Amino acid sequence: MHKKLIIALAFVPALIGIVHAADADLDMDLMQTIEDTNKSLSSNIALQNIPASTADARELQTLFAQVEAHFAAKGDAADAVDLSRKSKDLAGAIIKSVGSKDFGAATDAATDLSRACRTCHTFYKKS
Amino acid sequence: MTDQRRDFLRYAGLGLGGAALGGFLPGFEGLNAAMAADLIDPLSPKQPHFPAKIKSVIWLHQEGAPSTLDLYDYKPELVKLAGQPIPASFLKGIKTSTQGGVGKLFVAKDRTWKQHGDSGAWFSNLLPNLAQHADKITFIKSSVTVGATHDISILKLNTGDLNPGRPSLGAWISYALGSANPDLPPYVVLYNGDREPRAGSANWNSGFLPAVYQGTPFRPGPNPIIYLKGPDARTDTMQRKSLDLLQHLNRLGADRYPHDTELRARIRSYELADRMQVAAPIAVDIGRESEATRELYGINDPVSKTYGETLLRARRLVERGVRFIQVVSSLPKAVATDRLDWDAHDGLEENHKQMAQLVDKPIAGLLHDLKTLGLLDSTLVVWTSEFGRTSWGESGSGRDHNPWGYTQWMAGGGLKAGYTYGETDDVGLQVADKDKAVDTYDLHATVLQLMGLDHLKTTFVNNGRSERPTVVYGKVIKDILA
Repeated sequence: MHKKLIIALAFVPALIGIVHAADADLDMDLMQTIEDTNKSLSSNIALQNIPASTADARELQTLFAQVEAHFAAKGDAADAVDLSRKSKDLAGAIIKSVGSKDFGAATDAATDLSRACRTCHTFYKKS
Repeated sequence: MTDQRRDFLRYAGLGLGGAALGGFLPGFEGLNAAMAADLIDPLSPKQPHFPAKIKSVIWLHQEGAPSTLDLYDYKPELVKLAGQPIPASFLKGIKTSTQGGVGKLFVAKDRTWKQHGDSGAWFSNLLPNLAQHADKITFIKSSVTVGATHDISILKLNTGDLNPGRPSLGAWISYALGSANPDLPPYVVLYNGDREPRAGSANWNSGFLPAVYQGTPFRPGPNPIIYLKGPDARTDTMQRKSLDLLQHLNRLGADRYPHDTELRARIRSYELADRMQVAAPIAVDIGRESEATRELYGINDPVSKTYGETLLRARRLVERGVRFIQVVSSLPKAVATDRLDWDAHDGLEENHKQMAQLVDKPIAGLLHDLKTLGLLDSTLVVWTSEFGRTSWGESGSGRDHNPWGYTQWMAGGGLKAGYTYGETDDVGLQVADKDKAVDTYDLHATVLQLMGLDHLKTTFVNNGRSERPTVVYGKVIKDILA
């Protein structure tokens, strides 16, 4: 509940629909999808499920690319651009680690990615 | 197993019976065959991931959220700017729609500060006894959380989530390590107030873990466990004979059905209940403690009496191998006040004076006692709260909730003693360096690490998803480890 509130405050006015252009507002569904996929990724790494982990990480790469494009177009959110890029890179690192069955490194990267999400939400929950 | 047999087992405990099992043996009410298969001996000791630094945790939850700006976090700049509006630069990046709005910077008029010990840690005049133990303490002055309301943030403090349903930290430890004492639960909850703490058992439940791992609350007073004491008309001999007969019949059944795990679980549960009836009252019977010890814990002071008794019980549980003891503080009715806890939206000076008097001597006594008994090296004392309080005043004499920067501390095995990690900004509102922010997940990860558990490898599959104590977050605070 609270997390949704934070997201709402951070991205109001958010448009419901697909984020397809850099100048569009990010919508809550996209952020919720990121959160759900991130939880799924963390679980799949712990379960050492290579195909599912890879699929989750690839989806996150795509989603964070959208977030990065949004904030880059917005122009006044360098921190958010950096954190989105960092998250996208971490998703890439997870794909590599999982591919080489280094689940410890994948877990560490997934935790860093989750912390990046929290950090970004701290910066952007301004009223 | 026939229905009659099942019913017999369910109800034949007589004085011990269903009420006792439902009351103090978490997880055994409504036991079914599927659960029982997992519960043959769910509390048997288990090996940690790596050698543990500590054996027990005493989790001192300061309910209501103390102002650590009035206890540990001395800010000369705040003193200098008191009475003025907070400069906008300090508010950057935070949302401040807390209940009382943003008032003028506030300093209580009777507050004085002094450095203590070789570490030079700052303590206010509210904690004269605890200050003597400065060099035993590891401060975390960059704590952060999500600060919504007390209930929600307390839940996050204990379970890592803002919604009920996840296991508490103590439950994860019970699940991962089992019990070190077959006669006592591995996870006990103590409180000194007249009522159960805010939001109650949601803060010590086992969430999606089997219910056997949830905390067992011990109430204040001479009968700490509900339904533990048998009826007056029933003697110990009568109970023993009933249990022996039940045991005999159960064993006959077990011999005939060697693969019946439910029956074995029930045999164990009845016997554990019997052993606890003896062990638990002794464990918490502080009547056996010396006058000097009672004085040490502040039990002779009417304000600190109940909290002192509670912490003395905590020490006795540590001595008996209880792994996680969650202690919740509040003012009992015997103290003439309309306040219950540290939640000082107004009248902070009076409130914190009373609350500090409640906890200062008992906590100092606990640290001294653990050290003297050689237990501090194998025990972790955690002083924690759901959030801190704002640098600005509320209602002219109080402070509002602050999740952006506050102090918690730990003391005990495996830590750099007399050490401070992180800091807040010059007025004590936000963490100064966000890379050093310590969220509840990080605190949990560090406690687990000291218990010999890798939080990333402490997992449980729930509905096909692998869950861990730190959700998807958590980093061990390596800088504070010895």
